[in-house]
Amino acid sequence: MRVAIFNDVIKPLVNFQGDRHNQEVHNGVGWTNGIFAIYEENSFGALEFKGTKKEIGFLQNKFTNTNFKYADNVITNEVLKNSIGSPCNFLLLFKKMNSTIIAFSDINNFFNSNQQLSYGKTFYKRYGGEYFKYSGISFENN
Amino acid sequence: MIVNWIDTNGNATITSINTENGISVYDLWSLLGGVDTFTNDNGSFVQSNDSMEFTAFLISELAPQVKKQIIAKVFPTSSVKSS
Repeated sequence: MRVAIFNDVIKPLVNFQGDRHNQEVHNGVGWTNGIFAIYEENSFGALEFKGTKKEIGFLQNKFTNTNFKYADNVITNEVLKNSIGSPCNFLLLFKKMNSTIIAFSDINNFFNSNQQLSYGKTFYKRYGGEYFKYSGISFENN
Repeated sequence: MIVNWIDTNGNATITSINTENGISVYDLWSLLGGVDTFTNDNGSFVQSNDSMEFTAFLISELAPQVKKQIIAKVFPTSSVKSS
């Protein structure tokens, strides 16, 4: 597991009594790559854990040991979209997480066995301010 | 790699990406729609995770050598060493 730790974003919080103090926005929270989370959630089988989970663990090395517990949020497309322009831009973080170049110039077949794969699901894609409806997507080696 | 977007009339729109020098998972996700995939909930469009699901599906179907690289470099699992 690769983990990046960075300073939390601090923003003022106001309650209904008018009290105001600074709050760490993501205190106690970890964010997981949405693509990895799909595999993680599928591995739970019939239990169907979705979205935010609670991570509980124990770390030990020769210098120290610690318990940890945090809310494990998922970086979804919605989170990415909403964070554009905010101080905590998840789109940049997501790009960094997934930017390792996978080299396969020496491999003849990109796919496992098929030359063509299909994934059928109705969805919409936005292009130039308009929404286009698709009934599926297929992939080919070129 | 070629991606065919199949519309509801069965027509395909083609986008392609040059995979000769390798590709990143981010490139795949962007190619498959990025943040711009949606579902329609009673007439209003709601952000969906379809591009992430397509990427996860595509990675799961890749050739073993390619998949191995992605798991090692992008999604490494934690390991425990005993001594």
